[in-house]
Amino acid sequence: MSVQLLFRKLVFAQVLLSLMAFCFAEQRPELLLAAGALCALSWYVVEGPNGRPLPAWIIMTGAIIASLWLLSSLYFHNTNIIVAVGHFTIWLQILLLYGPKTNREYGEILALSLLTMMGASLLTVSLLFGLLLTAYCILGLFSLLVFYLKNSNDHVTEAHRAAAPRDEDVHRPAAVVGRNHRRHFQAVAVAVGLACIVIASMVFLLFPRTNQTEWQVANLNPFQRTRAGFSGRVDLTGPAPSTSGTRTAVMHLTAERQGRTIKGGDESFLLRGAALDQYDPGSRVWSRTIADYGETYTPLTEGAATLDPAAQSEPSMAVRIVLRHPSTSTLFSIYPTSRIESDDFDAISLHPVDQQLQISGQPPEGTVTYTVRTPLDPSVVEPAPDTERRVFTRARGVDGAPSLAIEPYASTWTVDVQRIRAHTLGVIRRQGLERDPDAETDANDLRIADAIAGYLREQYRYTLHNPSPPHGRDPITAFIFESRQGHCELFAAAMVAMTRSIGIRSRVVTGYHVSEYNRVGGYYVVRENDAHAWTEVRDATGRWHTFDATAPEAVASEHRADQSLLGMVRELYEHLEYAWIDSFAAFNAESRGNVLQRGVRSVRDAGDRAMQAAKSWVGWWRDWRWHATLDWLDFVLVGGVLTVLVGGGAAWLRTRRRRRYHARVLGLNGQSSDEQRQLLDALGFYVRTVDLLCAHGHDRPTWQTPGAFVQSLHIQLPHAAAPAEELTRLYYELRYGGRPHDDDRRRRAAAALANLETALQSPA
Amino acid sequence: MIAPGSKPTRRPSTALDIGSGATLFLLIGMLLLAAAFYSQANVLFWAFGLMVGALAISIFVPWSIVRHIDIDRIAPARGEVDQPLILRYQLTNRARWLPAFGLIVQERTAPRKARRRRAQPHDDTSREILRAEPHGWVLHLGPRQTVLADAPCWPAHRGELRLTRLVVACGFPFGIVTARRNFDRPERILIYPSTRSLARRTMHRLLQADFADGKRTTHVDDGDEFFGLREYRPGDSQRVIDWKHTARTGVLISREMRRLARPTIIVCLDLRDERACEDHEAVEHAIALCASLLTTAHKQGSRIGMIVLGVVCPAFAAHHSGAMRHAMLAALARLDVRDRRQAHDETRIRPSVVIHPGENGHAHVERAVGGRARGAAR
Repeated sequence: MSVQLLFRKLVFAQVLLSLMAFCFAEQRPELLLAAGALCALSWYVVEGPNGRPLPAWIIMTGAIIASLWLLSSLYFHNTNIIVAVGHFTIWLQILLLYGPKTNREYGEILALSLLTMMGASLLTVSLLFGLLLTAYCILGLFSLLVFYLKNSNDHVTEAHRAAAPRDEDVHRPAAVVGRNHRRHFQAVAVAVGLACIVIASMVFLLFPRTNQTEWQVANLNPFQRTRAGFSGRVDLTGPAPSTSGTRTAVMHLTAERQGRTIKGGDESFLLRGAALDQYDPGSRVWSRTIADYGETYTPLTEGAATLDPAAQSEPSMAVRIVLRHPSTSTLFSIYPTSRIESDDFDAISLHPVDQQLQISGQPPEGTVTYTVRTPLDPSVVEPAPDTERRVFTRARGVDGAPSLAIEPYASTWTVDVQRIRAHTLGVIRRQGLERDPDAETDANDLRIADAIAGYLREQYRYTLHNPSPPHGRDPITAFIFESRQGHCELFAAAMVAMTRSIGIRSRVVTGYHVSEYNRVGGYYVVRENDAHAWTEVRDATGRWHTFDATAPEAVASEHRADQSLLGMVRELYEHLEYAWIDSFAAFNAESRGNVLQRGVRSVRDAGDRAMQAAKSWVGWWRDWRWHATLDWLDFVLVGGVLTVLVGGGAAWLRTRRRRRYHARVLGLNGQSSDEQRQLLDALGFYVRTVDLLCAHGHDRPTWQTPGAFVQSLHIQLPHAAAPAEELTRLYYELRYGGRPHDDDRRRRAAAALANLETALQSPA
Repeated sequence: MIAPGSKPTRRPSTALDIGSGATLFLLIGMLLLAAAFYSQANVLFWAFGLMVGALAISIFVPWSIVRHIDIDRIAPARGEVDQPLILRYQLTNRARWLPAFGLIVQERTAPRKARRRRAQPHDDTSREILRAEPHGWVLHLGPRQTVLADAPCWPAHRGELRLTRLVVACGFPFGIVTARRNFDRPERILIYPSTRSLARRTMHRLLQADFADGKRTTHVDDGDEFFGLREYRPGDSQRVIDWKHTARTGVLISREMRRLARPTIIVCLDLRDERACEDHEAVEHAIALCASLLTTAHKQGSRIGMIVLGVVCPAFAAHHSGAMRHAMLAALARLDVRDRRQAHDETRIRPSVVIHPGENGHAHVERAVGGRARGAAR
């Protein structure tokens, strides 16, 4: 295959790959279909049998239309600028593929394709895109290498045309290649690629960074933004839970209990997101009423904030969470949270009433990593019974603030109260418990809540596909009294309704149920469809306790990880994707600092080890010097050995240098090492000849052959020409004639050299 | 490759050529770095890192490649105007591991800058002889391998083409920076004037002049063609006696044999008219016409000779040999119309054809005796 055709194929493949990557990043299969088909057709139109490029004016018209389309997308349709420019570059590439192409057009195509890939890399952080990007880089490297070869070929062809008469038909120069050219090209391409990657990695690592990733647009894709399993409100109008999502991973977490890593098994956690205290029977939505009142702003000092000083000294559990695409500022945590650490944000806001954690201000773009600590014994957390009162009193004092409910926080229930209360009292009586609905608190509140949760778990069926309630019926009462089946939000809402109906304060909490452990990566994976809802109940001391009324085995079966081989493969893929995102897509100042610290530590350790080794060696030497008794014979022996070593090294260096010089003089640089060695042994006499003649001022130009040189000696040095001719004849016999280097030739060469020396010393 | 047995006279020098492409590359790199710092986008840092890597490799690899290249020229001794002159190069890669790709071999007619400053003013005639400097191309040259590459060129003028050095250039892998290695390889190639095939009719008329002057005569000799009989003369060889006629007549009769002489054409290039010689194109046409006449006549088996009047040039007596033809063409190639010292203004050799430059860039041919043919070489 000629360089020209190979280059055209590579450019075509590169364009195809870049548009595939962009369509994948944008998740637009219809665009991929259309653009891919047009791109493929261009090869047939331009390169196929009888193919030829379209006229330039068609290409120009197409480019103008594409530009107008770009402007229209930006100003009238408000398309995201990266998406719009990506589409523009794709259409331009396709247009250029159809047109007549010089090296300039090829350069434009390559630049546009690179822009498309860069745009795509801003739209997605998927591993699949990473693989496409890797393939693109490899292809791009080969394209650039072949582009240079094509350019040099074109340059020489142009030079030939300039040198030729006007009517001369000049062809491209034929490719002159040595042996194994394909293998060499592949090896050089790999070496160049690796070297580029190493240098790029060093630059990537060493250049200083800041944490303000203003232009981090990993979340620009609107398609990705809409897919969030977690929601800050619960809508009970539909048949399916409002928090259902896909299997897309939203976070990864690793957990340590008292310094020991938790490695899957049956361990599961509830990651708390939002606490919802009010139910609106009209819209059938659970919401949070205290969002705008009483939040406390807590800055992170040296990357950490302590939320409960009393729990610091207690045994705790640490959970490191990596949020991949934070679409809200909610921070998920395990309740109760005593401490939070992170370098990705500077401050958090914590509401003292519902303990909801949020990033203060706008959520940072890209990946967010933080660690939360929770005491193993929740009772060590200091209760604050008067906090709610204080907050609400202050809120009511604010001018213009909306009126808050007069009733205490998370205590009101208005839907079908009498019926639910009667039902609940019946349930707890069967467990031997009693509760005065008008009492504010009761010592048995937690036992009662546990009984209600147990009742719901045993008597109700968990399903994600429950029918919608009859028109006009409240979904919670329909769940409690009629359908008796539903999803987690209905379970949580029913428990809140039942507890509140008998005077126990409670609230619905949304977040994630964490149970899937990735064995390859050694971390838990939280997906969109792991979104879950449960209940928190307040005890007499003012502490809130978690109750999950949903049957745990039902939830576990819903979220159970695939244990088959396919599941292992999926885990491996997800781990690679996680590593890709963690190492490349989410690389920031913190990651850089960590890598540099590790590097510096490694170098320091290696230095320490080397220093230790040197010290031990010096110590050994000192001991040996003191303990050994050297007499003069030992000194002579050591000196002799050292002299032999130094002399041998010098001789070896001199021989090597002379051999290289002789090989250069005899023109043996193109020979293999064995051939070179044999010929150097055989042709030493000719080097001596050249040296002798050179010493007498008859230096041979590099371009002159030995035959021509000896002919010129007939004129310049007639009295020495005969022996020189004899030596040259011997040289040709041995070098090109394939004659053996036997004794006879050795004698002849020695005699001729002696004659030459005599002739050169005698006057002409 | 350095020719075997020779000692390298002067070390080749290596230089890096940072052209406009590299400048543009650096500019884009700086912009990318600024954008990366502003946005802190990882992809831009990666792109900048790759650009730095590409730049470093673009400096290191071509430099390493050309430093291990040896080259020698295998050039023909002579060429002809407007005919392809193939310069051949023998390239050797001395590197142990690194193969070379995309090597461009460039001929240089001017010496290196450093030398030019010290040396005498440079003669630019070689640059006039070639329309452009020849280029050769080697796609691949593996480590410890030797290949041959060709660089065709078409000389535009006659004269002595002085090639001074060779430049091996390589920008592999990205072409951002080009490394060049200069090799001093002085060589001279004589470029003959352009020879065209002349019209058969013109040649016939010119050669007829030769016959008309009786030069195409028989020469009585001991040739192999029978001419006649005559009486025996003392000194005749016994082998030439015709015994049959001797027996019939009783008188010793000798056979007379003959050998046909080749037709002879002696071309006279008359450049005595200084005013006519000011028309450079006409002079060149006259020289080309002279060379064409000589070549065509030699091909047709004639004995050819040449005299040039008005400028310094040796005269050539009529002879039929390839060496003589080359000598005459070489004299025409070296002819300097400005050099009129010790020029022949007349000659005793009698020419058969006279060529002299005419008007409007034409050359005129006329028989030394008889009519005149115009513009035969146009």
